[in-house]
Amino acid sequence: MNNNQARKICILTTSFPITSESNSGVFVHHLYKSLKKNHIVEVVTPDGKTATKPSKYDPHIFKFRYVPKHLQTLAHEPGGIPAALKQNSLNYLSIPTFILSMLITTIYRATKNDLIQANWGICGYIANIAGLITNTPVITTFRGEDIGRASNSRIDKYFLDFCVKKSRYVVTVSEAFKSSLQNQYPQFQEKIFFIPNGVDLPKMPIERTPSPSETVKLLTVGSLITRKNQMQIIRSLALFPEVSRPRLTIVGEGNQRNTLEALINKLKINKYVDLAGEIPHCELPKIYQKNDIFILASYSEGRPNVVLEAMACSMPIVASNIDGTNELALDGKNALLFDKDSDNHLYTQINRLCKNSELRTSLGAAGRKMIMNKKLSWEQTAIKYEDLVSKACV
Amino acid sequence: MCGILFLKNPNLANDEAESRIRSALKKSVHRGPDEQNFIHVNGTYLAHTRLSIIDILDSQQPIRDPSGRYALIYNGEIYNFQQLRKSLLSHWTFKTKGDTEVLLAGLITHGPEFVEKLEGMWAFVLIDNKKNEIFLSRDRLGKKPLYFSRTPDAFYCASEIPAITELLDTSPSEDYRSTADYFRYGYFLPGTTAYKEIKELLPGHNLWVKPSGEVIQKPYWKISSSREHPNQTQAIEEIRDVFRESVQKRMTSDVEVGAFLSGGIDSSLIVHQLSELGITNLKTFTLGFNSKSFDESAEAKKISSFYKTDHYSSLLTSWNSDQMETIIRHNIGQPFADPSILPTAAISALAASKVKVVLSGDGGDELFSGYERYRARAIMRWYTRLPTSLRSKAEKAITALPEPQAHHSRSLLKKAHLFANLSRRIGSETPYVAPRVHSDASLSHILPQISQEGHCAPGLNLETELGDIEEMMLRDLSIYMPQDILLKVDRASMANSLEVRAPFLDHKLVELAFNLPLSWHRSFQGNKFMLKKTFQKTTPSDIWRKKKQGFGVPISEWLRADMGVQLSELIGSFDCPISPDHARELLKQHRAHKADHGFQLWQIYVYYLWLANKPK
Repeated sequence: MNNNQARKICILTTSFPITSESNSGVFVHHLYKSLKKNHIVEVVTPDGKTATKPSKYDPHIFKFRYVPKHLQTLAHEPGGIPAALKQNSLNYLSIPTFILSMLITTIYRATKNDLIQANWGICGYIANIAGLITNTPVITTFRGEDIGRASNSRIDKYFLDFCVKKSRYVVTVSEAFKSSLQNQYPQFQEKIFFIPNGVDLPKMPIERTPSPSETVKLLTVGSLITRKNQMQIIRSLALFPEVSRPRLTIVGEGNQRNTLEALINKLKINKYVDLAGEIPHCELPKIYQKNDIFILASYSEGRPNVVLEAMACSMPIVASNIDGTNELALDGKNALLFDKDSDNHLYTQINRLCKNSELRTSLGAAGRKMIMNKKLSWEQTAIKYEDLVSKACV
Repeated sequence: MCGILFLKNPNLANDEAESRIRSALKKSVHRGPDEQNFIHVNGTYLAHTRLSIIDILDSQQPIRDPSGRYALIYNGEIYNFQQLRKSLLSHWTFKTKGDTEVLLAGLITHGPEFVEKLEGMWAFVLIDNKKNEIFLSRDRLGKKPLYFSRTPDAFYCASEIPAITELLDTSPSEDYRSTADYFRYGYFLPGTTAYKEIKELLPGHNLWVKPSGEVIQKPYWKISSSREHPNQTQAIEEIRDVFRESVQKRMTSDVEVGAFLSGGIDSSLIVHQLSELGITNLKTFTLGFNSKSFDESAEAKKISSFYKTDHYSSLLTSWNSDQMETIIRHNIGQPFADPSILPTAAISALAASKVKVVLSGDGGDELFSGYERYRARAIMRWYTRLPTSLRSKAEKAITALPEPQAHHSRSLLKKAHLFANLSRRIGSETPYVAPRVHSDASLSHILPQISQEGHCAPGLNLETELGDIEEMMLRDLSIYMPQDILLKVDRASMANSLEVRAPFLDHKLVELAFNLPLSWHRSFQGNKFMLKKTFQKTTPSDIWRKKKQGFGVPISEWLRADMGVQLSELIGSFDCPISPDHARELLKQHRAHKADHGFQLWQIYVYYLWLANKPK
């Protein structure tokens, strides 16, 4: 077999945009589209509760049912499976049928494909069992939070151990996670690789639309879940004197909405905060373009795509100083980082940027330049995966 | 078709007047990219921007009579100008072959009564230097626009509001009575605009500005609606003849004429008639949509294949919602809430790339009772007799079900939602003026300070002998059609330098259709009976199978995306009568999918766009 041969690849994922409005797992969707250019690719993913329009039907996407349709809320929701379990304990009842259905579907699809690419620990676990049964190689990609959870959760640690041992290759989306895994599993360090996520560069506007008013516009994008920590941004916003308070748009949906609304009301800053809800991913570039500063206050991340996208749109970044994020957002170069436990520090960093439009422009330009220099496009990501696929299939 | 401008202000230095005329001309170039001219006659400026359709090499405007006493600027098409020309030959030596000189000669020879002989669409200004009088006229149904403004000393006119604001001494001020009307109906009532100082010449009216400055506006045409006709078979023959003549007249042109073809009944009948008249190689134009709920391009393709037209279709895959701001700023100059102006502009751009003139099916629904709201009104009469508690429970049950995004022609549930909505506002819609966007109660929430304000619709006779549906149809013809449909078509097409002609809106056909008994047009089972009886046997059955659809614009989706973020920023940013708290609440409910407030929020959004762009 030669390296340029088209392979049959099955992508296994619990997050995928199965409706046109969904933002679930958009990066997996990008990977799917990019790999499809040279290979025959299909996706196995859980079904959702929303009916998919026939016009949107893609014959290469296999959705497995696990409970009656209207009860299928375990996957594709903001925050993924952990958030779904936290939000509604009854979802635990779906887990046995979920795993069984995913396993059967994956085994069947594995027989039709040369390789399985699994995303996150749970998919890696199922894919590796299917791989063992059908003798199909598996590449497991860990996307960050699953590695973090393994230090606190026995089940996640078990998934991680199993995947690292059984997968042909293991991929992380950040250098820090690669090093961490290599330290934990020195005997398998040869098969652990770092492949960064890309950005859909042609769709990211370079030109910024200056705000017609003097009010600086802040933006954060992410599921409304505890880990994303939008509460801290809201609290910091309240520290501004009213006369110079910037405007904050929070894009995303999730189980923290009511808590955030209550906080906004309590702080009496309703006029300054817009909870915009979930917005289709294709609309986001316009929103990046029209805002001045991007903020990410997460407690933990893999390698946040929203930061890559905001940088590609020449936005200056204010981000919490955590692993994964600080590989992209470099303090003083293309971003201002803050101590994740300090509202005052976040306020200070935002205020610095609000008062200095030149600094905003220079940090934004540096971010865009970094994306271009590192060639962080989905095409490059796909090339790196293709290389592993070729090796795995030999 | 063209743009016209008029300025008379004795207090203005010539340099300043000329500069204002030039900048207003610049703002009107899209209406006539072929030629721009202006003249200065005794302190009066007349300017014209031309889209050459007839007598392309000559017929320049402004035009003057040989004595220099009269000067005319005119926007429109007079379809019977050849016939009128012949009748004027004994009085006038013609130098051109176009309709402009015929209009000038007729007005000079016969006076204002000549207007009654015109067939077509027009808006013009004639000055009589000897009598020091200005005479304005607008076509019977209001196809061509004409705005004016006056002060004790000065008088200004223009085809569009963005141009007339360039002529005025000061920026015009918002008319809050009009603002309330806009939120009631989605547009302004005839004769009014968003501005106190700018008025609109009413359709079917002449206007004189006397030397004393006195302004007199009088109707020269009024639709009579006796709803009496002796014989249905004879009426069918008459419809066939008048429609054929109407289409034939509208082929009068020195440039190629095409046709919009949506796949619906009205545009298909026009293509059918053109085929009957022996027109070959007709260019037809359709806009397709991604959403099947709104897409009629397959039906249009079938009709075009049947009549062997040279068919052009464009699929609208993505929307540029920012285009609305451009249209408001450059073409309309005031809020206008009908989002279908965006696809109308898109299909106009497609057609303008191939032809300069198209025929469209506008007016078919108004004349032949095609709207579902007439049926809903009839059902409502029976429904309101049910006990209130029963109605309330039924409406609650409907409202509890999720409202589909689909066009109502494709969804029974959508229809049920619209009906429940109508039931809530029926009190506000009686007596009927035009379809309401907000009921009185809802208006008091969105505009707490000015919800009781508003203009009276001109010529609205609230006590007539007509039935409920006949009244609705008559008012739709005199209010909804000129203020929404015709404004939309004129601005969207002229923004692309395209002339649109509407054969259904020939005044003879209008008079005929409105004199037929309503029961000949519609019943509970259906509508447009007279059109069907007239043309069904001679046309392909596909035309009649299609359910009525409109241009669907996904405003509800936009408002849950980038546009919602923009709107959120705009709310509270202006000193205006909108309650920001109520607007925010509507947006919140809409984003959370608790209700579909898409149209109300779009209306608010457009109003803010206008506030952000209006002359300061």
